[in-house]
Amino acid sequence: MVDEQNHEQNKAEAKNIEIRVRRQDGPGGEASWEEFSLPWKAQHNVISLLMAIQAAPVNAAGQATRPIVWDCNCLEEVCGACTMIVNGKVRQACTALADELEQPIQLEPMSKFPVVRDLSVDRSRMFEKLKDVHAGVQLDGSHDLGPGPRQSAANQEQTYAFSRCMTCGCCLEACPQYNDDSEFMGANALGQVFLFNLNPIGAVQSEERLETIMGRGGLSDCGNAQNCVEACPKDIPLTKAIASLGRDVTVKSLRDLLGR
Amino acid sequence: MAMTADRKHFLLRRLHSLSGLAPIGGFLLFHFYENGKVLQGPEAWTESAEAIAAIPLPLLLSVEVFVLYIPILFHALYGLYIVRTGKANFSSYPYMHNYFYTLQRLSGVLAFLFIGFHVGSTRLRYYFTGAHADFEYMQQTMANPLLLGVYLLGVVASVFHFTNGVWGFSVTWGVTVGPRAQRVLHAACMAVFAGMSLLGVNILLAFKG
Amino acid sequence: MAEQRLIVVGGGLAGLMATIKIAESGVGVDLFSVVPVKRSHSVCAQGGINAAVNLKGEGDSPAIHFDDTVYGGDFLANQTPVRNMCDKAPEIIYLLDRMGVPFSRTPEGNLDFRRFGGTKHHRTAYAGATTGQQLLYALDEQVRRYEAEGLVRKFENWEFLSAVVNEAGTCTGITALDLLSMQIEVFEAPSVLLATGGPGIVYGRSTNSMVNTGTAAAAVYQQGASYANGEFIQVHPTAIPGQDKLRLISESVRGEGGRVWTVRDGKPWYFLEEWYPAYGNLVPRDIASRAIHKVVFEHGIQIDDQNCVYLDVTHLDPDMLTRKLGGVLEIYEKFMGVDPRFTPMKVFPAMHYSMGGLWVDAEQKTDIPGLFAAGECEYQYHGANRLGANSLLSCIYGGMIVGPNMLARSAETAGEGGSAAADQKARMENRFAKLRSMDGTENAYALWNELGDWMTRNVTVERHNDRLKETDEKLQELMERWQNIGMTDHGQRANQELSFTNQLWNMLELARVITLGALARDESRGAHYKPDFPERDDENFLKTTKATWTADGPQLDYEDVDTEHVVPRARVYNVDIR
Repeated sequence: MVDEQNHEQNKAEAKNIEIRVRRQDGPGGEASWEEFSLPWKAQHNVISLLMAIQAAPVNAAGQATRPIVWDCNCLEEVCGACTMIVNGKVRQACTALADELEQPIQLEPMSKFPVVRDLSVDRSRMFEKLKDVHAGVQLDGSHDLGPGPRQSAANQEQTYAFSRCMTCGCCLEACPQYNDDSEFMGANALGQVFLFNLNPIGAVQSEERLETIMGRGGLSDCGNAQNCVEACPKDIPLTKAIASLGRDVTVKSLRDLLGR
Repeated sequence: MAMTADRKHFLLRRLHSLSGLAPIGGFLLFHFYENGKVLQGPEAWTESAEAIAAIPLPLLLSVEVFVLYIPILFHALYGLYIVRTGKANFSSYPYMHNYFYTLQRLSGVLAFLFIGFHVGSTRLRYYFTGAHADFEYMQQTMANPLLLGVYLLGVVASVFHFTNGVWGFSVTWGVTVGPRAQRVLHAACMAVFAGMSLLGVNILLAFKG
Repeated sequence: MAEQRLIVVGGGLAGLMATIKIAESGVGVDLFSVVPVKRSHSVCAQGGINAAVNLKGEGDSPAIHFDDTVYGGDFLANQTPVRNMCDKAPEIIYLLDRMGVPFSRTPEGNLDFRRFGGTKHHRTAYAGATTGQQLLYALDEQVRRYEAEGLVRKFENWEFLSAVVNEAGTCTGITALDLLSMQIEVFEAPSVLLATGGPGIVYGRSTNSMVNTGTAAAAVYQQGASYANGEFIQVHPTAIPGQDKLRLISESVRGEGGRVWTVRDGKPWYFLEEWYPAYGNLVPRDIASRAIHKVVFEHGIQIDDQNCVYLDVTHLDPDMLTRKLGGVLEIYEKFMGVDPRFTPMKVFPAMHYSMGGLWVDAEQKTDIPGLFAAGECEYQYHGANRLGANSLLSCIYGGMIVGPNMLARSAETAGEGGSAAADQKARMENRFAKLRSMDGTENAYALWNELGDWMTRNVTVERHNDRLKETDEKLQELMERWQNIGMTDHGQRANQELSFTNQLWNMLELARVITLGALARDESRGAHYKPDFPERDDENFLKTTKATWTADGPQLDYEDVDTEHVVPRARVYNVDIR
């Protein structure tokens, strides 16, 4: 309802959309806020607002400025690139519709990753983690070995949910345990471990994968704040994966202990 | 494998989680049972307290040290380290479990401070002065509004830390896996929290008389 | 022995598949991508991937798949490569299955297949509503393993600028721009693959991702590689108009009973049902797109001042809609903030796919020796119109065969670089130094908006020779005005305006290839439709258009099409192919 009211209000009176952007020239640079004011248009989202600024880079004070640097690609919320903090919350900019946002629309880079410039951040740490946890199926080769094993529809549905993870980093940004003072790998990598341990072929390496999350910064560093599942734009049941892995490592450590 | 050295970290975390449940949580329940006798009158409580005091000192002391003080110190100090590795953010992400995340840490710190004070003013006082924390002493303590406040807050914080911790334990160890199971258990834990808090407050007020 | 490394540019399906094939044989790969590879445009493909595995007992076969593909492509595709692709498709599905792609399953646990446009068989394997994303992730995981082993080096956030071509005309490497430091480096390799995707961004807003500028293909086109069938651009009839992008709404919405209408004289006008009574809202993609264009541009009917029509499911049972179309309708709700079960959707056709691309032979070789191309950036598998769910297949197949071909070439000859690498690097550094100092009055992004408007209006569903001529004049004007761009960003780091200005020039070059190719092709074939020449003209135009760069604009030549396996027959629209 509030959204609808905002929408009508924006249409009726506010002919402009006010934006505040946290700008920074580089990783070590000073950050400062710059305000922009753009004429209202139907279907504006944060991306199209940033694009409008690109095509006419003038701030709210009427001064010429440089275009804002940000990451984006698919604009359909499947690539994960345009993740940023919009009005205090981490999300994808492409699905942040101007009419549904409180103004001024405040844009900040993600805080848990080094800033490249303006709203662009370096999330390579996430991709590195995927290497560490062996996220993937280990094939014998890409030559023809016939079909894979059969898989139940239920198993497929469960793996599919996790396979939609686009490494956007929302779960990490929202996680109180993921920060400069901790080595916690975060929900994204744990979700991938869960996914590949569930996959019929991936399960072959499940012990090895569990091993990778039983170290420093692994599963046990989770604080159960469960923000990850709230922040995930794809509704991936991350906390279920975390608890389920908790069970697996419990069993594994007992087995390791007693089997020695 | 390089990971095996890291296993220590994992085991410490799990030990931390386990120690909260047993022996610390277990003792909390026992302590409630034991002190709950005050609700049947000062005599019942004194009888139970004297029965414990009758345990030979070497045995009692070693139980206290190994079953209580060391686990509590470990749980508390490692807990403080864990608190340091997190950064609360409930103002940006005002979700229920995020509040509980922060409350768990806050209640842990409060409980630690309270337990330190409580042990100091009862057991350590006895070891150093020979004076038992008898009913009269407890009655005097609760008569002091400031101390009563400390006890009320400390007991409620400890109970919260324990009951919410039971939920955390069940998630960490993979007892409750699905969101529904976790939701139900959390509600149950909070019900126990409410019940135990009520009981704890009644016990404290019963000392006051 | 010096370590041999090959270069793959582009981290989508084609690039990753080629990388896997090369790395698997023990040869190193330097993999370049403008975005982290997991964010490549392949993630956008929703529907599925075709393979005649015949798990439904329908008697499907690669031969029928082949026939459907060349028929759907209006016989413009060279038949032998298409045939090879269709033959290999079942094996590709099985490989992807083994890689852990969560393909949807039957109750028995087999791969499930759905029906798609242009075929009578259940031939499309799919993973929920995000098949492309699932395939990309599966390949990405395999490549990551080779990366961890050190065989693959990823250069993410690096942009391909140009090939290094030596005196003999052989490609011996590339120049690339580090998009963070804005430094230009040169990399040498005996063979180079471009798997850089389509040129959707030439149309401003399309269903394509922002990286799909076609800049890499356009760059090598300017270096002598020819560009084939550029004029064949597939338009999808129902996309959500947006300020930033046009997002696809699946055809299945019409399949379930959705109706298309607009408001004329204050009343609903179901123009598809009126014009095509036999098939109504379920006319094929190109006809639906043309009809909507006609309503909006010729009849001048807009909705709320926007170029769009309604796609309406509000008359259907909301529960049925949620059950059958939930995923699709969710996209609309997410981006429009309106529930389409109760409010008609606003849709408009959108540029979706380029059948054309760099000319390659059956081994994926461009006409610069040492330079290969695969994926949407080349032209070879879709003829004049692509069948749904064939794009993912062509990307993976292209990558699969190009890898070994690149290895074979590297083994036989390695072009001697000589001073070519250093010279090319210097040329690119000069070019960027000039770009940096541009201080005119035009804005690159504003010029791009104009480019997109013109291309979308005149070079999509309906082509008229006068408007195409006008568009080419406009393109030349934009090229003039490009010279007068003024840089607003003088930063040394992550300067997106700088790289975009460079890309914009390449887009303009490519826009001319597309426009002039369309102008010269006086017939209607597949996605290319000229009302003044409504028939297919096999006598004159059963030919591949080959554009080569000259200083005066593209020079067009025509090459015969391989029709070895099936004789071209009329492609009839007025049958229900669904």
